[in-house]
Amino acid sequence: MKLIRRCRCGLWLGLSLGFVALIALLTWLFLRAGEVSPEGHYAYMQSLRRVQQADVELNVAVLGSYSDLMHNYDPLVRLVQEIRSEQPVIGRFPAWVPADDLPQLNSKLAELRAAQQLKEEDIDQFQRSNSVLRNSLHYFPLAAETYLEKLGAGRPPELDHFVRSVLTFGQGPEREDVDKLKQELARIQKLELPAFGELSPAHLLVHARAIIGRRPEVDRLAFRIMNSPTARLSEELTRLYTDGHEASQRLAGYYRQLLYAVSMLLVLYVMYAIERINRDRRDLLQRYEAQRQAEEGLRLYAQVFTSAAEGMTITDAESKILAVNPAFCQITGYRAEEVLGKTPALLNSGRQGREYYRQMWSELLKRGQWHGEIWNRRKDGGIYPEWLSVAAVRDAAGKACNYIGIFTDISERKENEARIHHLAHHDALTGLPNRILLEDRIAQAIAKSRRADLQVAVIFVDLDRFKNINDTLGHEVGDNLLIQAAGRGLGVLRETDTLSRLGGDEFVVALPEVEQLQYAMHVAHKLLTVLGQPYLLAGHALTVTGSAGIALWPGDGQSVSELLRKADAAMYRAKEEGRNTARFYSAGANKTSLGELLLENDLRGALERKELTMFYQPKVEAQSGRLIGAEALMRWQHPEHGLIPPTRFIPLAEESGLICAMGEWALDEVCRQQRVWLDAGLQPVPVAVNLSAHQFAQQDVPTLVADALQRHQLPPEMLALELTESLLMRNAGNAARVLHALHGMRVDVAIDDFGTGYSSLSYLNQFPVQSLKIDRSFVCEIGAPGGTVKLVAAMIAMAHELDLSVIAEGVETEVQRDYLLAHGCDQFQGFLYGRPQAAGQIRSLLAAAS
Amino acid sequence: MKLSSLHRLLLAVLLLSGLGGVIWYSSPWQVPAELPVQPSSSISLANLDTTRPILPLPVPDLPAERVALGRRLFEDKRLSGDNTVACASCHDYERGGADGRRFALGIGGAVGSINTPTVFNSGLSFVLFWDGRAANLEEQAAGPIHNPIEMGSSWADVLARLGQDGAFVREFTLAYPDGLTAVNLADAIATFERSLVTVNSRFDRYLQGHREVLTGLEIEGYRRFRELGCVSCHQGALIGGNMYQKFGVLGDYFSGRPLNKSDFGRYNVTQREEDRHVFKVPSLRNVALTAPYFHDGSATTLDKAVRIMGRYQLGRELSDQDVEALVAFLGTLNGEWQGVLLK
Repeated sequence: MKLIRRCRCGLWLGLSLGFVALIALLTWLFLRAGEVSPEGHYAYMQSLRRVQQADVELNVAVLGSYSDLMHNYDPLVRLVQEIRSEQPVIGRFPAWVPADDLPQLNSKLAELRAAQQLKEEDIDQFQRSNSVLRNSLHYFPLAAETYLEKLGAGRPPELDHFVRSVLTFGQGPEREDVDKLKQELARIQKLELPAFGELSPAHLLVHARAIIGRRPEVDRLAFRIMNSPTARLSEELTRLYTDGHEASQRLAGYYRQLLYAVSMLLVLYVMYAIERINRDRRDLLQRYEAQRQAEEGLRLYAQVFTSAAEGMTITDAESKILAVNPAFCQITGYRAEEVLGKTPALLNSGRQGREYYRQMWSELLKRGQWHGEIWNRRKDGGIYPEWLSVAAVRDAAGKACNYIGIFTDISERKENEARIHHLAHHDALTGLPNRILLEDRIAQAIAKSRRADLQVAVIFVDLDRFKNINDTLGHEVGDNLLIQAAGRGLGVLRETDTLSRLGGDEFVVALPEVEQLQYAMHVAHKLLTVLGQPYLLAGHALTVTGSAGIALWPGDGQSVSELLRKADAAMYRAKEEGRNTARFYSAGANKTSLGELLLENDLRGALERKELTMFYQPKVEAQSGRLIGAEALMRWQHPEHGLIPPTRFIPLAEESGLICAMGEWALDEVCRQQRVWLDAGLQPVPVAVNLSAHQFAQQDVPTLVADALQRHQLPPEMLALELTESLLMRNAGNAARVLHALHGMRVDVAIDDFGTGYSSLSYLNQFPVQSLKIDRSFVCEIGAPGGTVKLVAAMIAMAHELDLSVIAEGVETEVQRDYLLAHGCDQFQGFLYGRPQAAGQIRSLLAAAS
Repeated sequence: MKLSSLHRLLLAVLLLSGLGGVIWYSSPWQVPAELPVQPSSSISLANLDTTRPILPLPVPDLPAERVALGRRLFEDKRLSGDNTVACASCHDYERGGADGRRFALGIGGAVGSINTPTVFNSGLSFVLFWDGRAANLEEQAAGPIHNPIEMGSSWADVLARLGQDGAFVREFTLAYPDGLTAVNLADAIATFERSLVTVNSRFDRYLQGHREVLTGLEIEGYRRFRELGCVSCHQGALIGGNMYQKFGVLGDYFSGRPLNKSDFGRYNVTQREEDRHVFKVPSLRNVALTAPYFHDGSATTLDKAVRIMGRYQLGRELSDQDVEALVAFLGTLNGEWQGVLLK
């Protein structure tokens, strides 16, 4: 800085000195060029010319006076005075006369002055003498003539001669010898001549003497004046002067050329300088404009940086944060100074794995940019999703020197998306998935099950007479009921299952990965059971039953809509067949399935071929564990397929109407077996036979029972019947008559699968039944996490209130047993006490008991 | 755009200056070799009639304020050593511009040795003083001032005295911007004196064609003036005053007279023998008013002076008729000053 200043000082000093030198040079040249002033030269030349002219005129005047042509001396005086007045002017040479010429000029001037002085004196003398001569020349002839006349003839002849000689002499320049005339004059003076008054010879001779004396003098003076060197000298002076003038003029001209050249150089330089300045100015203007635009751009960019809603991060090549914008701080909660110098890893939430970042960096390095969704952690620990764009800034060498990260907090968007998604896919009232989501879930379930080679069940559930509730109690009550129903439905489903509401009172359940048809039916029953529980609504305890239709993939259809349609159809069939029940669509489907058709055919001959057998599952007294009964369960020993479970062939039997024959066979077979055991001396326990809805609806059950007992001579205590709640409900009018008849025959009746249907105890109270069988789905809940065990306890307590004994089905664990025992359950049936087994095995049990 | 027009203006100025330079360089610097000669004096030779012996007086044209200033000085007694004598004391306008005495009367009553010449028409005289020792009126003015028996003063004294008169100095400075100096004082006095031209004499009018102005005798006088040869020396506008001549050129005027230094005339200036008794030929203008005559004031009347002139200068004895006629003629030479005929 100091050095620069010193340099600049030096520069200025140099420039100033240069300027002073240039100004001095120009001034000097200008003075030298203009030194020969034309006015001075003109005046001097004028003066010289005047002197010369006056000199010439003076000669003329003298000549005029000499020849008696001029009669006054005023011109002479005037001219002499004029010459004299010019003398000081001529004496002052102009300043520019070269010094070398001055001595020569001065000596010439001195010569001229001397000559002029001499001439002046000569003129003075000439004036004096000429006047006298002129007077004498005028007077002498007159006086001489008069005098000679007066003398008369006796005058001396020499006088005559003398007068003539003087007159002749007086006329012109020296025609006579002066000395001779003077001698004559002397001679005549010696003559005794008389005087005549005023006219005396002395007078005459004075004038003669004057003529003789003055004539040569005047001639000589005139000659000298005429031949005065003044003209020549002034001419020489003029020449000398003009020579000097020309030399000076040439010199001045030379300086003028120099001055012109220097000025032209200056002009050229100034033009060059102006052009240069102009160019610089344009350059500067452009540069300024560019800079202004750049600044504007920068300001704009800075504005973008500071006011953007997106968080921005600028890092160096080592990912050290160089700058962040206000939005960054707002989103992350960090202040700028807290993150500067650190890396963006500060924000790492840990949600993405190492691989994620590795991929991000590889793409960033390869393509120079990366976009993606990333989860980061705020300063307060909150984790939020952001949409992050990272761009690499490369330097001239192509090496990344900065990274710019721009991100948006998308948590809200995510939430919105989720909410919208939820709204789009869920029913607003119950929060259950809607049809769209359901279809999606079913499709997913199909895909999943296809891989696992399993089935998918679609259960269509519709609440019976829901419309009545809506109409009579209002929509609010209806809505509340639906909400509760949804909650209950969810309670009995697995997490992988989907419960959805299609609208109104229609619910659909999708069950993926179903191994057996029975599971679907089981779930359907559970659903119907929980839905059939009483609802406490607006002070009313309402009971609503439902109907369920089940369609299976791949058996009933390939597409989602087809499955739904078929499940709907099955549901309507269930409704037709007495509500509060579930139906497979399978009847139609089985018809189209060759396997099911063959099985139905096989089933038709199964009775004759005696392929059907009875298995017996023990019932024990809860307190003692003593065998007190058994349930007869039909088994089909298929010659090719082996043992076929009733869940598979019972629906076939119902579809084909074989069920009635099979029901008859079952009654007869149980009675025959009891007879066998009685005859063998064993103490048989009552055996329960299941009655189907078809049987109940189409056959005269009391007669059948009476016939069977009659046929085998079996006391009625040895036989019991089990029928489902829904069967009773559907055939309510018939049911009471049948049950009373049976009661009259002292045949015990138990309500099977209690809890899955209407579960209306007050309704049951109308029928003379002796016991309730709690459905295995309730028993399963016991000991399971989150199970609704209180319902079981309530059912037991209520049944006891109605003087009904309670049998728990599906008791498989000791926990279940202990719980049920604690709550007063009367009998147990389940794997814990024995699986369904052949008659032979029961015989040994009976034998052991007795 | 503004800058661009400025740039164009600058270029135009540069071009013009370059052009000017070229014109300046190529302009004729040389003064033409042949110069018309201009006469230096106001009276050109062309106006001078050389064939006539006597010419009318020219009318002077002079700066009025300097003339007035010169007159005041001319009449100012502070120019003398004892504040008693002014120029006008001896050069009395009422006495034909002279004093009417034989010799000048200076300060303290001192008497000089030479007759006072008239101041009228002195500006046209070719030299001043009887012996012509002053080439012009400026030189002449210093003479009487420094002469101890005339004004007995000096330029220094005069300047000191006049310098105390503030009003005068202010007025003087109006006419002479460089103020009160000896040169300017002399110039003022000389300028005034040059204005003392006695124009419009009867003879001048006669010369201009008014023949009836003169009487027969006067015309006869003029004829004899020429015939006798007076006109040989007394010629020109001043009728004299333009040459020197020896007093006693055809007879010894000084023989038998006591000589003093003034009688040597021009010899006192040149110390040349031929200038002994040589005097300036005096002008005959207003001669009738300036008695006594000659340098020594010896001729008390014009008659006597005319006769002496005839005897010593013309070498003849003039008749009474001659003298009468000549005196009559000389009387016609009185001119007017400030429109008034001198008496």
